[in-house]
Amino acid sequence: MSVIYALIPVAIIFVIIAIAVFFWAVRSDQFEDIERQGLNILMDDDKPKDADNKEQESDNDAKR
Amino acid sequence: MECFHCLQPVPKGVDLTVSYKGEKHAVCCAGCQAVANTIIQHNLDAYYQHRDERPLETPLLPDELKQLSLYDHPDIQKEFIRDAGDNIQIATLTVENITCGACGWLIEQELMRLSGIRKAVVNVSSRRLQVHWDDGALKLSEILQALARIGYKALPFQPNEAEHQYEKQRKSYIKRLGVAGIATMQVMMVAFGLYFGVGGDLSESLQRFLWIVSLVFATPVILYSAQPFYAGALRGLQASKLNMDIPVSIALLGAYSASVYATITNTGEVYFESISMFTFFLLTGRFLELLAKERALRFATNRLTLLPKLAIRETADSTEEVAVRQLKVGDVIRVKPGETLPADGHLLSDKAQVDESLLTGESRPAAKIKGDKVVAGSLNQSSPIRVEVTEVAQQTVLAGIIAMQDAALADKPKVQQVIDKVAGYFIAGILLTATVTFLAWWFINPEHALWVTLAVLVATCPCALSLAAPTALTGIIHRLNNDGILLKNADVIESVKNLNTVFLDKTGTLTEGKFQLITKLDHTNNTHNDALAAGLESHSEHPIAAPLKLLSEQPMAFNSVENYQGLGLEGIAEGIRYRIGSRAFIQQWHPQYQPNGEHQVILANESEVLAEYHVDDQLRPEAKETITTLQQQGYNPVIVSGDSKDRVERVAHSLGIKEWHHETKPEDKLSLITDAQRNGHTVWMIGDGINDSPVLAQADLSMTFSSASDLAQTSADVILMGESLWQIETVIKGATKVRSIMRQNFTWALLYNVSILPFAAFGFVAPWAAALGMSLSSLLVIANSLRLYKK
Repeated sequence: MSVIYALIPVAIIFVIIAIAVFFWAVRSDQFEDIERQGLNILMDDDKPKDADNKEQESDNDAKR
Repeated sequence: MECFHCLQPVPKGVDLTVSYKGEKHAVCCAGCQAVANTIIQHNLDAYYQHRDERPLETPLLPDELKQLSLYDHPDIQKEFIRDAGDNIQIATLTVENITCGACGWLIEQELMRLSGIRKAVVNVSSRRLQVHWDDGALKLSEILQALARIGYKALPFQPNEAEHQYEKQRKSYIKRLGVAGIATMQVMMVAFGLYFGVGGDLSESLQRFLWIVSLVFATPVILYSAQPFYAGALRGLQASKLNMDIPVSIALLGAYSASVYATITNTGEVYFESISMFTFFLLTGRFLELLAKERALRFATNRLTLLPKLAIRETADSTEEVAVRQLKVGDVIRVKPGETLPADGHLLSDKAQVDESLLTGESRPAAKIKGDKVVAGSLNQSSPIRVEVTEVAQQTVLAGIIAMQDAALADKPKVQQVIDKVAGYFIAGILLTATVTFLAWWFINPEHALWVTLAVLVATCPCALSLAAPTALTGIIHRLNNDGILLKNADVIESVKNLNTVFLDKTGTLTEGKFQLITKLDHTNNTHNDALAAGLESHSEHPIAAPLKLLSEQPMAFNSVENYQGLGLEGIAEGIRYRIGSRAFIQQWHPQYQPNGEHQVILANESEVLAEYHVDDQLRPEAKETITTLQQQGYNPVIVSGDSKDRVERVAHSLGIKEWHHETKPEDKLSLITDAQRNGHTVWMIGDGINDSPVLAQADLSMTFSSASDLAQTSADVILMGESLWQIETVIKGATKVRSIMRQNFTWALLYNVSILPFAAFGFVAPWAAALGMSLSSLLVIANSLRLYKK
């Protein structure tokens, strides 16, 4: 059982690392808008932009 | 059939479609059609696949878009834009009708298409958009217009200082909660080792080691995570007021120091797991309460959008637009019909009709002639007028009302929370039992005195008790929120207990606040009469004329129309001379004529009376039922209105209200309510106007509608978003319900603490039993409060 005397201090170090990472996440505003983040993975690069749409886009840009 | 874009029902007879993926989909209006087409053309249609299936508000109408250019005015922008250097400007905008994450994505994608946008971040939970843009390449109004094209209305708002505080607090709570959570898990793991033995046996040295490990993990929880409780306790002591943080701090610090002492001397028991878990539970409760309050505050702030306040000032040869705050005494300004007067002044035009209802409560427009005083905040109803400014900013009547409101707010009776009353008894109880236990054991068995006292301290730890109030509070805020009621603070829970008087404003609160055709009586062919009335009234700007203009879709064409001030209109159609107006005006032609009932607008030609109308500010449909219910429950409804005697009297009679006050100025309303409070009444106030804001601030609890004036919304405690008087009843019911839940919570928590006390005092409560009992009692309280979330 003496291995526990070595393993628990190692676990303490891991916990400290985990808390440090958590603090960093809070500080970089990752908990600001929790409702939103789950959806992000679904939305982007959903479909390649085809030629047709690009035309329309530049059309619209010109108008603007 | 539902609209493809906004998911609201498509009205009958509307035949508009958009094509998407080769199929035609029905839409409800041209606005939705334009928005849907923009979204599809811009290749952002993933929005339609991933959004929540919740109906949206109808998109902005194009003519509202014109005003957006006012936001480009540098004087206006100063109030809400931050300059980040290099021409980059930063603004935070509130965006209406964001319903889900897909909206956030859509807005960001659309904005990033504009050249000149550097960064656009949408926060869906607070419905805010932060945008960074290059001022040289893009104007703010273009950003707002781009958003309007995809159906979102974004506007700058007045930032709230308190909100910033909440944000800082929330971040620190998340950190404290994270530390408490992670560390408590470790302490519990070690505690299980201590309860059941590691690998079957627990040697003396291993037990000591595990105690030290628990100490290492529990220390940050007690010294860092639990700081808010110590701070609260200190604040309470400084203000010599007892609060729940005091017994919490005593229990936490007492149990911690004793456990540290046990670890160092290797004697007695340690309770690290109990106090860590206790801190974690309590922090969770506080954090949820904070979140609910912050959310309510944010929504309230979002409603206070900044409207561009510009005035048109005459210069030597023409006119210029200036920000209202730059007006000086002596300036001559022009006010267009439908605009709000920016400053107090004297009328320079010959005559004017101004609507002062927001300031005075008087629902009929006031007629002013040259030289009369007109006040800021009133609405110009008639033709364009010229005004010489006599008072600006801080000196205006409007500013006076705001000052009165601030004074009333400071004077408002403070509600003592139940929990603070309980805290007093609790502290006395803990100190007494701890002392008695310690002394008793000191004489019987001094060796055990400290450890039994420690067990008593842990057993009486007011964990469930401290959770009783915040969890119930969070529940009620959430529940009312779902019903479209915004709660800005928790005073409602306490004040509902003694509530006996409900003060109600008339115009805009009991009534709709706008003129409507209530009844009409045709003496001849009615379609023809409708066309005549609509045709003639179309020459009038008078608010009473507004509902009559809508009588017919093909109004009769009139010529040589003349406006008799205060009487009515006369004009010629198809060669016949017609008049529409007051009884006196018609009696000039038909001296014998008497209108039926309450009809006060009459249409006639020279030979006969054609039709008569009753146009009035109509009661809200739910007003009668709401008032009756309030009376049945024993509350006394009172009308306080700035309107004239007979109009207030009529409303009071039709609603069965026995007490009413008419022609009250804001200061009269304030003294009425303070008198009632001095006589021991608990008073709720429901109002919507600027003139109501001081009373709203003074009342024990105040409510207003989301369409009310900004000022009323800042001073009210509760905002009824559903625009229905009936919601007063919902608030009363909800508050009563939360009171009963809180009472159950208190009873249970106290029962637990009291019943475990004898066992602890006799030294029967082991650390594991204390931890188990505390967790179970807390969970029970939480589960009970969760019932508030259910309908």
